[in-house]
Amino acid sequence: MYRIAIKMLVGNGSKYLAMIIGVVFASLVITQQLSIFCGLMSRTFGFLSDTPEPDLWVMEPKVQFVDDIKPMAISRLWQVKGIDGVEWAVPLYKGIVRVRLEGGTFQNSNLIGIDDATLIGGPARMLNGTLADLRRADGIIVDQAGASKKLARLATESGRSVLIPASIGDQLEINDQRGVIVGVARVTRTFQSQPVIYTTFSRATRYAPAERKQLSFILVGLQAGADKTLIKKQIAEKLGLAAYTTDEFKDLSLLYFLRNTGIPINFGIAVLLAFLVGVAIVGQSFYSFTLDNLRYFGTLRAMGASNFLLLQMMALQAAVVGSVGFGIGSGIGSLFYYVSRNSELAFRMPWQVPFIAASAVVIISLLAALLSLRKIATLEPAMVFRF
Amino acid sequence: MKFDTAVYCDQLRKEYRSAEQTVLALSGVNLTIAGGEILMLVGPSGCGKTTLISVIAGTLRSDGGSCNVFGEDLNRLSEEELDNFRKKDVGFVFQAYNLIPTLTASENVAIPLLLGGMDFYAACKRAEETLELVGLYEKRSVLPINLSGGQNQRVALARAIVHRPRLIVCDEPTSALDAETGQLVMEVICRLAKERSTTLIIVTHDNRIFHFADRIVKMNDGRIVE
Repeated sequence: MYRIAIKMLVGNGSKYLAMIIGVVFASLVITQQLSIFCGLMSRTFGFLSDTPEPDLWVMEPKVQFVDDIKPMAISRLWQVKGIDGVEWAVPLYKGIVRVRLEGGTFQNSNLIGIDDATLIGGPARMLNGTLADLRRADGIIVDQAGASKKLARLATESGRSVLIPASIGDQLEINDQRGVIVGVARVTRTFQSQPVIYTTFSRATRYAPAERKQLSFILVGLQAGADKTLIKKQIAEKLGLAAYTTDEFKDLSLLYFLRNTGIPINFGIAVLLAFLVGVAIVGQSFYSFTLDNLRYFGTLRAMGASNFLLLQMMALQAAVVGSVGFGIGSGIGSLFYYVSRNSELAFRMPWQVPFIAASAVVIISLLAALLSLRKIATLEPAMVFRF
Repeated sequence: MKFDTAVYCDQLRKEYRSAEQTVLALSGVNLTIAGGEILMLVGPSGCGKTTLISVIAGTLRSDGGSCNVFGEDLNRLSEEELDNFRKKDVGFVFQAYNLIPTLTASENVAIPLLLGGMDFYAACKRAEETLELVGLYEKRSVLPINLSGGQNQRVALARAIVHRPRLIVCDEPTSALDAETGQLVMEVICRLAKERSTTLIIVTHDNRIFHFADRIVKMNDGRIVE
């Protein structure tokens, strides 16, 4: 009888289509909005994702997220190196500088200064040049997105204005000082979509506006078998500094944005609206479908089908609508993700996104079926003679 | 009750209650129908004909009296047993055919077999054989919307007999058909019922088909009057 249930559903083309469209719309919008939300949120800690080397990030305790820089004195670096279990500790500068472009305009950019000796903290994926090229005079590495857009040169070719991406050998004026591009790297886009410039720590502190303290973070590697929790505790108790693992620091940054910006509410409203529209379209269409078929459900009831069997058939119909709609909706969402994977769009689809969308579709299908449930559950076989 | 008695109703009562009023639909009906008999129930609208076949077919419970069908007191059966009784022993033919419009003729006919637990393909095969009995084998893959009224009613008839029930109830089977088609449908119904010794109860207003009946029972005000 399940085959009959599916034929009853699919054969009613317009209503079936309306239900499918409802679920597709809901699952697509939920998937897409949640993916953009995840993409935006992951950009808040993108720098941490691009810097996998340290076991611990040490900073001032009042730091709330990765861009909330509260500089420390350089002497803190030596104090951290003195903690038992610390294998290595290197300085890292992170700040915003103004870059003067060739046309005279200025572009705010993220400046990352990594340890001169070890180059720990540099970008993981070099597209052109090598990390070691930073040791060349005035060497800087720029991110690909920044190089091809915001740091690009405007030129005229055949009467048309074109952007010529910044490339190795080009010079940038950073805070009135010269920087020579020695490499291009791929990094996670920043939350504000500003270009990212890597250089050595000593050069970064020279580029940066003068401040008494210029050590943003201390990146720490631990000895094999060292107790991470104990070392974090020692850093906190002996030095009065905060130490986080990369994941903890990501969570801290993420929580800051979740709690202190309207982004979750805005995306939450979009997701809720998609859910409600889905419930309305699918619920109304499914109820109308059930009413259209009440005579036939009644006929089946008269011929000996139990109410339970009819409810199972209805549940199967709701499940088919939900599955097909979710498949198409999440498929379009995934296609969107695939197409935009190399673009500037903040789009990230961890497994939780389709899981949440699937859960929403299950709830939509259940609510739609529930609207019709009473009609089927109270169907008397004798009704069939009154149709 | 004789052994060959198919239906035996004794002082059958049925009331429909609403907030405003109570309508006595069956008021002490006594009726005996023999196995293989073709019985027509006639009478004015609202006299209780449809209620009576609903009770006999096990789709409605009576409020009083007893209704024995093939030796089973239907009032004593549980819901599940009543469902099984209808599934196994009763075939239905409705005035508006009640064929599921998105299923082909053979799939519609196969439904009683599927409800009985038969495999889909085996059920469709048996359904096609039954369609052949009513002269519609060629139309086995056609949707009801593409069939004429008479053809739809013959498909409905095939659905009513495919599982070889002992009782078939027909509610105004010819009222939506023209005279010629109605005669044709009745010929098929009665021929198959006779061949299979199936008890046939037909509710009708159509006096053009009275000659097919073994017996005609007239109802009025919830009672059998003739």
